[in-house]
Amino acid sequence: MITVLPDINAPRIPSLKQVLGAAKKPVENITLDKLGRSFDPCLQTIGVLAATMERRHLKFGAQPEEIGSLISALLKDGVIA
Amino acid sequence: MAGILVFAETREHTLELLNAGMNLARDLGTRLVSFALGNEFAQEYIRHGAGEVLVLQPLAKDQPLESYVPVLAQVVREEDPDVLLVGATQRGKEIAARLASQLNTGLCSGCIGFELDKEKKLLRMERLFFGGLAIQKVICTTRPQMASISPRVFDPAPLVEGREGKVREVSAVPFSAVTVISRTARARETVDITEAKIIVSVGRGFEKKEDVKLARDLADVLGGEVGCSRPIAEELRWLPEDVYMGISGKKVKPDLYIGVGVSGQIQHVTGIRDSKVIFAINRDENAPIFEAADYGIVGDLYQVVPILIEELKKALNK
Repeated sequence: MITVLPDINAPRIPSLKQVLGAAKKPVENITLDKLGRSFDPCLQTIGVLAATMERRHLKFGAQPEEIGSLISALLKDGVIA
Repeated sequence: MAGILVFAETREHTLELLNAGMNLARDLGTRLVSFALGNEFAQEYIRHGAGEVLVLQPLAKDQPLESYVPVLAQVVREEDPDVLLVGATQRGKEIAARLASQLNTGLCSGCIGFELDKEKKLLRMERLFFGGLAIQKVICTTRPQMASISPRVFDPAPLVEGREGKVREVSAVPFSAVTVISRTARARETVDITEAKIIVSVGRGFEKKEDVKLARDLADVLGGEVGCSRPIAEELRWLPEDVYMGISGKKVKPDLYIGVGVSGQIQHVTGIRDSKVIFAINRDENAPIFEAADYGIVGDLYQVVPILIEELKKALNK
């Protein structure tokens, strides 16, 4: 068994003839019953919440003075030195 | 026998999982057991919280790390732990998935945190969902409860001098149906972006490859590293794939992240959400990156960045 990454191949665009031809190919549906096995989930979802982030959303202008005060803020945060 | 069992492929990652497992073991009144890929780590793991260390047999040269799966599965069946934590590196994720399948138990892959229901001995585990837009909470209805945890989600367990614990060798021999016929180190063009304290991130706002130098100059003034969003690495190939951040790329935790011309799609933001401070420069005031940012400048990066570099030089006396 080999698992492959998307980069392994650039898929070609099928021609109209191939698209039409594909519709005529047999399609076999495999149902769970046919497999003769049961697959019980071992995980249960107990909640889905939006991922939130606490951020300050402070906007500064693009002039040198404004950029200067942004740098002061970064210095105060202690993230640059 | 109950307990918390941890396995990771590196020393640092094991220490982080020990930290994650330590509180669990205490709250459940059970023991914390760590696997080790070599005797030399045993005492250190004990000093960092492990009550017992299980030393695995070394791999033969032609064995991949996944060869430990049957060994781990056997030990888990014997030990019957409440919880099994696996380090979610690329190979660790695969190992965790295979283990869960062999043990027929539930696995919360990419777990970012959990809380414990002490009475039911139940972990409520969280992981990112919908490409990072949502957080899904899951419980495992089988035992052991498994979670795989990425590097740096937890801090390493603190050192406690004088701690004592047991060391035991696992005699089972690793086995895999896959044989490694050769290994060649990949040429690394860059430093490890995940270690950087300051990251300047290049986005699609940059017009051409040569302009990346602007980001490099900014990073140099700050003593930081240059990273990027996915298209810059995977589509345009302006920067190596090692440095793109996002849900399928690197997950980073710098003190300062500066997004330059980065729009801030959720897939990218997921990779940077643990940054201490996020600062964004973008022409489009409605760019989603500003929603994720502490500081933002709405402006053309080709005008803003040179001024920023000059002002930084003044402020930092460089």
